[in-house]
Amino acid sequence: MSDRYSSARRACTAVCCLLWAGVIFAHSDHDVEIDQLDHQLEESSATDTDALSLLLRRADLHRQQAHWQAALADYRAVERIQVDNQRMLLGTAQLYMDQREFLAASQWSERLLSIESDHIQALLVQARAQTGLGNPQRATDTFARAIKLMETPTPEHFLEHAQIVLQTSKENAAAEAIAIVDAGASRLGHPVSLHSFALERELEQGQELAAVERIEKVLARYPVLLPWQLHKAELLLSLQRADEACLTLKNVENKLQQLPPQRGKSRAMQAVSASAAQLQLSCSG
Amino acid sequence: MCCVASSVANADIIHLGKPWNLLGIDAYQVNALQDFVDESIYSEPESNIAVDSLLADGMLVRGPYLQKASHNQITIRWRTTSKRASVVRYGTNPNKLNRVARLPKGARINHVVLIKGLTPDTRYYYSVGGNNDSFASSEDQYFETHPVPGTASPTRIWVLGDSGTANAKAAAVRDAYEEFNGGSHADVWLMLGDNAYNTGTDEEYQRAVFDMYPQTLRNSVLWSTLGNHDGHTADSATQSGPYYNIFNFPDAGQSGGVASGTEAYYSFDYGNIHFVSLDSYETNRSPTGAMANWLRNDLAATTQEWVIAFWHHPAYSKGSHDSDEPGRMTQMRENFLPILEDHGVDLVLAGHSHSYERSRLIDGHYGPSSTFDSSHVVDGGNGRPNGSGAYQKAPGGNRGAVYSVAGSSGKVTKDVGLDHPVMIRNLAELGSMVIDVNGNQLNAVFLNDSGNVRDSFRIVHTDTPVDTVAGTDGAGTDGGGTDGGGTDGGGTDGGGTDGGGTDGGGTDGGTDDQAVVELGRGSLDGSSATAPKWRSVAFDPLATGEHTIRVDWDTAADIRYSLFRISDGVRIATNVAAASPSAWTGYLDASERYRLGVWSTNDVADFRATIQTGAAP
Repeated sequence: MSDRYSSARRACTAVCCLLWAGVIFAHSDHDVEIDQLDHQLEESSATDTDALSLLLRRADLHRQQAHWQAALADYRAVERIQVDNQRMLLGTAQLYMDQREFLAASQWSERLLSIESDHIQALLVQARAQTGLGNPQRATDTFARAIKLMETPTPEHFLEHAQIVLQTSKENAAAEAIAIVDAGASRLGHPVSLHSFALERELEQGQELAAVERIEKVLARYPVLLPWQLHKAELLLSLQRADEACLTLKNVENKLQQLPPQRGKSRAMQAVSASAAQLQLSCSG
Repeated sequence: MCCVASSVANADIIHLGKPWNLLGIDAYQVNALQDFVDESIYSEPESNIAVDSLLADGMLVRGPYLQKASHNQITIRWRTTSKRASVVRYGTNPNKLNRVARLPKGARINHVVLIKGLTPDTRYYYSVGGNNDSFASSEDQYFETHPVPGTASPTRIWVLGDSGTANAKAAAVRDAYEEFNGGSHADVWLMLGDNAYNTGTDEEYQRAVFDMYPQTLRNSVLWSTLGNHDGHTADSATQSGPYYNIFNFPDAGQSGGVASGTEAYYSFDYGNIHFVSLDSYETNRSPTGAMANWLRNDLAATTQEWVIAFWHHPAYSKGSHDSDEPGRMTQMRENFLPILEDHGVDLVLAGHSHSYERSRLIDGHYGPSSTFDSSHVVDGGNGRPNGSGAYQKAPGGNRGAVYSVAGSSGKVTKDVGLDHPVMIRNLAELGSMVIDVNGNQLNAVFLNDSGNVRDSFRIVHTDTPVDTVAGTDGAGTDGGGTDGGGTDGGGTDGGGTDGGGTDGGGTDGGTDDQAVVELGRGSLDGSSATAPKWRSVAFDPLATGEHTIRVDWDTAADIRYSLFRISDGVRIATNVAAASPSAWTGYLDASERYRLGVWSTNDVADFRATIQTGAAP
């Protein structure tokens, strides 16, 4: 290990460890583990498989702490032992991605994908790198492939994919983004975060009827979700459907009264109540 | 014979991820570590569930353990040495396990069986095994379904933080709790992350969790949040790695709450309590991210009286980690506390720092510790009924929450500050938290590894609404005073003087209008190398019993004051205050002489110290 950071850290460790061992232990579990890995690596053969895993672990720890040069040096040491090591290829790609060096991130993830074309994490790095390089269409295709391969995608994946689609110059980008999060909602048990995203896009597109329909679907599942009830009333008022809006507001008022005081009187619900009262003025008028 | 299949037909089928129908019964697969795992239910006539033989205990290498419970379902998991069928026999009579749930086909070593259509608030005994054989079970191998959501039911919660050392320290904490709890199960068992050191591998989980708590795992449902050490080998983005393979959490609202779409953050109901688990390590912590969006909606949708939230990285800590440093702790404080407090959260639990730190009842403090002042204090007392009184939370307005770091269930870091100003109790001791919720009361204790209660507090929900909405009505520190136990010196306290949660046995309440006596006054200059930074005064208490010492000062200096018993030099209390006035209430003996030392840590201040018998008015 010849990089500057590592030398400096070792020097510091040698000089300071007696004085500051407690503090170092207390404040950086990563540093402690890196020190342990240093010792283990010194005792291991440079070519054995143990050394490989120790180097990879240390590289990952360095990367997590943004010690880029140290991490890169360890990844390169792994490469010298095993040129096609997948974890090394992915770690290097992620390292460049972390530094927003998109071209390098793309190249390293491509190297991994040439070995394993369905490597999900490599696909994700590739998609993000392509986004950074200004190729949203390629990014969205890659992202779609990654999600399709995932056993357990999260809402964040669908949201990120939809955001990338919105960056394309496609005429129907918003509709495509909504379709992506709707597919995610169906797959993941209808997390509200995905419906929130779709709702915002529908409102941006002036699709108020679709927005009302979406809100009703969410409320069918979670009837006490009063901010959504309130939103529905606002939309209905803007659609000149005052009777339905007033009925919805009445519903909000009733539900607020039915809530246990500790819930119904929270600051959030007081804000809902105040907004509902404001909108009710339209009804009484 | 009944039971499961017919109940399932009417059950609320909400598993929308990867569903398919098998014999008309809802089933789905989950990711697993070592082999493919199904999760399913099935029922058969009683005559078909006979056990022909008992399996050797050695074949059962993990569990059984309980996951993802609700008022009408539960998941039971175990691991065997070789591939076998997955069958759970269960019933309300330990001698007659007359129902069966099984995976419909195949053999595996990691078994995950979901049972639906259960009766709420009911104890079921169970055994696990194969088609015609079973591992031995006993009367303490049971699960209890949750009460119907919204039902106030006495609830015991056991909280472990950073417990994953798999050593004698973790065992001592476990044993202390088991003795305290009388061998019963915990209704809710929380792990606050770092459950298996050093990297959360499957082998480490075996040692730190499955070999450490085998009995508790059989009858208490374990819920967890991801710690940084778990995260070394787990990935929240793909929900993969040992942590996600070992646990099953409700990602689709199966246990109450709003679907999160991920096991990285989720919620569940137990009786009249809503629990929220957040991922402070790997998931996006921005206020506009999916987790924050979900949290807002989840809290808006709950109708439960109590809200308890937990995650790994504490919003407030001056233990082995400093919450003033930028990063996860700061992000959780800035981005998630406002959401939680706006929705009336009662208690927030975290680990990460290997200590116990517990706050006053506070509200609206989202900045670094230096910005904390009396405007954030709803009740500055210790929350003890026999101390400065339980925390009273009226609905609405500036209601407050208690924040606790409980990350010392496996190891302790000593020689750290433990002086975050929101905290009223700081201990560098091994231990765990035990929380009892009953109706409108929440009682919590910190139980150390010797079985001593080292802190306690109570939160009471009152019926009288508060109409104010603004967050700065300043009930302030002069309403309740600070804890007699106080900060005990960052880990060197051997148990000496404070008596944990049972102290203050003198004149409780202190509403008598006693005369205020000035102890002394003077000028301090914490910024000067030559001017006096500190002053002290010796005094004799007016009487034996509870007294309140109050210190006022005229600037924004951070003032620290300590009270010593002169006869043996024992420090009774140390208090740190960022804003004037600050008060301490505790028991003093008229036969003793005491010394009060006051110093400024950073600035010029003129101070005045007073004493009166009883609690501060």
